This record gives sequence, structure tokens and C-alpha cells, in this order.
Amino acid sequence: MNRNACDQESLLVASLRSGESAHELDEHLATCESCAETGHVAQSLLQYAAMTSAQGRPPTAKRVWHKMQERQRQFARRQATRGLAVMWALAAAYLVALTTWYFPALWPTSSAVLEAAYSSLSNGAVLAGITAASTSIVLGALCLLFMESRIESPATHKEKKS
Amino acid sequence: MDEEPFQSLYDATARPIHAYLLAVTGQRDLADDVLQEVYFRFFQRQLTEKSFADTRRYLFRIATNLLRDRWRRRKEEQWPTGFDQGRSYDVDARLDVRQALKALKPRDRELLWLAYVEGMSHAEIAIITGLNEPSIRPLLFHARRKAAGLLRPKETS
Repeated sequence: MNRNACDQESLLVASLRSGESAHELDEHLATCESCAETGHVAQSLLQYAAMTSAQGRPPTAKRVWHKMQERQRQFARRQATRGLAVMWALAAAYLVALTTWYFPALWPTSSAVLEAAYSSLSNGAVLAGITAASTSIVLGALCLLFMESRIESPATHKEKKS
Repeated sequence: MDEEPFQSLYDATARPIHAYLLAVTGQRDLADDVLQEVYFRFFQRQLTEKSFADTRRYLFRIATNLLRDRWRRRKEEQWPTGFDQGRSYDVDARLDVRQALKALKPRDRELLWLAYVEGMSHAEIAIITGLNEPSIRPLLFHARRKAAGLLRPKETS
């Protein structure tokens, strides 16, 4: 027998777990230091397990199931809003870029500049560009609002269920 | 997975996993939280075709991994790690199992519980803990020695 490896150890643990004592094992325990130690530790742990099992019950299956469902909804919501967040970021970046590009041109520092800006607005190409950009922003914003309205909050979901 | 099969799986497996978590963490609230997380992870992966033994092992493995993650994240706050060398355990009074478990490292607690309370083989323990199978025997031996030292009352001279 090796001090840290006895062939009888698994049999000993199985016997302790089942609560059935075997005469041969009792004899073996008297002579095997490793198994005696294993028996002592295993017995203590098994008694502790029985004690804690009686006192500390796990949460009920129903409770865990409901919590899981709630977490699943939150998870799905996070997944769905990830796309929205990207769209919001793109829209904001677009707005900043547009403002940076066009706002200085509209700033009335002098009547000449204002006049130039006004005349550029009347230019067909620029006007078409502004119209297209504005339409895109409005459409994008409407899309975002529509998508957000389709994602239910957990509170709304609960209300609907009840 | 629907509620009914989940309930039967939970009823068949939750108690030993909860006891394992309680023994390794020593904290009821933490054990409850991790247990719920274990089933949520399992539920997300939808592994319904596994056998009962595999499922049980898999749940223990998720539990062990979650404990490791939490331990890494909040080492100081949550975990009583290792043996307090400054404190003398040369006590006349017998340390109870709870105190002995607290004095052990989390990995030692895991190994002892899986081997002696759950009666798992070294191969199963290796799968659950992510350790190499040949290293289980010496690690378990050292854990057992430490535990025996803490549990056994000091021989009075």
C-alpha cells in the first residue's frame, strides 16, 4: 500500500456513503493508515452534508424557473437593443458631422457670408443634399421609435401577462 | 426546455449541487445565487440530449467554473482563502467540519466534497474541476491530510 493510494479507498467511500459497513473493511481500516484517515474525513463530511442538507434547502424549482425566465427576457432585450445602440451612435455621429460641416456656413458673421450662404441654399445641388439628409434623419428616427416601441420592457410584459 | 422537464431535472440535481456550493463558499446567499446562475447557463445551452449522469456532471462543472470566476473577481471580499498561518490551530477543542472547511483552500474543499460526499471517481473530478486526472490523487491526498489535521483532535501529551 502506498500512503496516498490504497485500492480499498473507493470501496470504503462507497460503503460510508451507502451506510453499509463491511466486516473486511473494518479489518482493513485497523491496519491501513491512509484508509483510516480517509474514513475519518469522509465520515465527518458526510455527517456535515446530512446536517446542512436538512437545514439549507435550495430555492424551489418554481422560483428558479421564474428568475430564469426573467433573465432570459433581459438577455433578449440586451441583444435586441445592441443594434439600436449602434444606430443611435451612427445617427449622432452623422448629426455632429453635418453640424460641423454646415453650421459655420450659416453663421451670420457678415452680411456677405449670410448672402453667400443663402445663395448656396438656393443652389439646386446643395438643397437636394440637405433635403436628402433631412429625410434620412427623419426616417431613421421614425425607424428607431418604431423598433423601440416593439421591444417590451419587463414591467410591460408582466402587466400584459396579468 | 419547458417548465415541467426543468422542474424534474432541478428536483433531481439541485440539492447536491447546492450542498456542494454551500460547502465550498460557506455562504448561503452566494450558494443560492450561483445555483440559479448554474441552471440559467445550462438552460441557455439547451443540452437536453445528455444522459442524467452527464447532465449532473455538467452542472457540477458549471458550478465549479462559476465559483472560480467569482473567486478571481472578488478574492478579498468573498473567499476565506487558505490557512491563516498567524492563528494557532493547536486547540484543545475539536474544530467542527465547517471551521475545517473554512480553513481549507477552495480547491481542497471542492476535491474533498466531490470525492467523499459525491463519491465521484478521479476521472469525474478531473472533468468537473478542469484538472488533470493524474494530479487528482496527490491533490486529494494533500487536501485530505490537511482536513484530517484540522478535524482530528490534537493528542494530549
